[in-house]
Amino acid sequence: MILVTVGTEKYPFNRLMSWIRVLIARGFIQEEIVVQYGSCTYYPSEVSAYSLLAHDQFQELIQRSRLIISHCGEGTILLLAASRKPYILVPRSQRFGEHVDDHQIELALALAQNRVPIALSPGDLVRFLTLPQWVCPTIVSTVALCQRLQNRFG
Amino acid sequence: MITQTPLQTVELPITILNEIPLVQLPTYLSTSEAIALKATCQQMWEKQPVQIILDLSQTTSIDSSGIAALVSCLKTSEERGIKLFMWSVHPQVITALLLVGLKPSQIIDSETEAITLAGATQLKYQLPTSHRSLHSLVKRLTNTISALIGLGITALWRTSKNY
Repeated sequence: MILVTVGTEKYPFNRLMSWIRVLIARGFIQEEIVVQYGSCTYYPSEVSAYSLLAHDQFQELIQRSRLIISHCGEGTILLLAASRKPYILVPRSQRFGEHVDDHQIELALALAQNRVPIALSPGDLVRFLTLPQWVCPTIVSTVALCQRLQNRFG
Repeated sequence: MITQTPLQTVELPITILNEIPLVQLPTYLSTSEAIALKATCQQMWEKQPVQIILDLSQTTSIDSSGIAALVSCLKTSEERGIKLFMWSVHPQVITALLLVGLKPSQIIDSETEAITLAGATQLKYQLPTSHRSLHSLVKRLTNTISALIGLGITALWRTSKNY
């Protein structure tokens, strides 16, 4: 089973929903899909869809899933890191009306430098599906961060 | 004496999932890449897939060689009964395809809009040059009409004061 989650942002993420529909239509995905669609105004008809999920329910779906396709929200990333399930992050874009700015893209690029799987296109999703992997999304260690703050502010 | 520099050999990454090949095209689709595309398609046609997907998510520039290669691949795929679709096609590439008479709606999966890596990495360096309200026609019209009303009221008041 593949879990797709877009968080609880007030902005819809219909573009990711469309990618999932295209992947299903072209035959790249042939298994059960569960979608947490949040504020999206559209989701593929072939999936089991929930607007919002209770924490326990969400955790259960994560455990049941083979891999997770998620928006690049900070809270969701922390949950996925703890799950140890293969996941890929799809950043929301201001250009498509998916968020107030492009901070998710900036975060995605920073995480990509640490080999966290990122999808900027549906092609990236297909490449991930052939070789799903779990990567811990650590950008900088706590010690290094404290050192940087100390150097900066004394 | 004439010397020819051989064209650099380019290899296009292919991903196959559920027996469906997905070919990733490069940022610039010019002569070397066009030759690689034709060779890659030739390779895949021999395996007779049901469909082939060309991923143009990172292709922001295409020249006549690239267009010719795409057209050739499309035509040959059609002759062999293999469907060929393009994903995440950049607007400039769509324009180029339109110019040669292709109908993008028939060959492009429309719901595959992507973010190009080049566009994403430029985010940090883009600074706003003017406030967004300057680009709003409604705001500009409101400002102009309000100013004219204000001037009109001022003119009437001064006129009545003079009398």
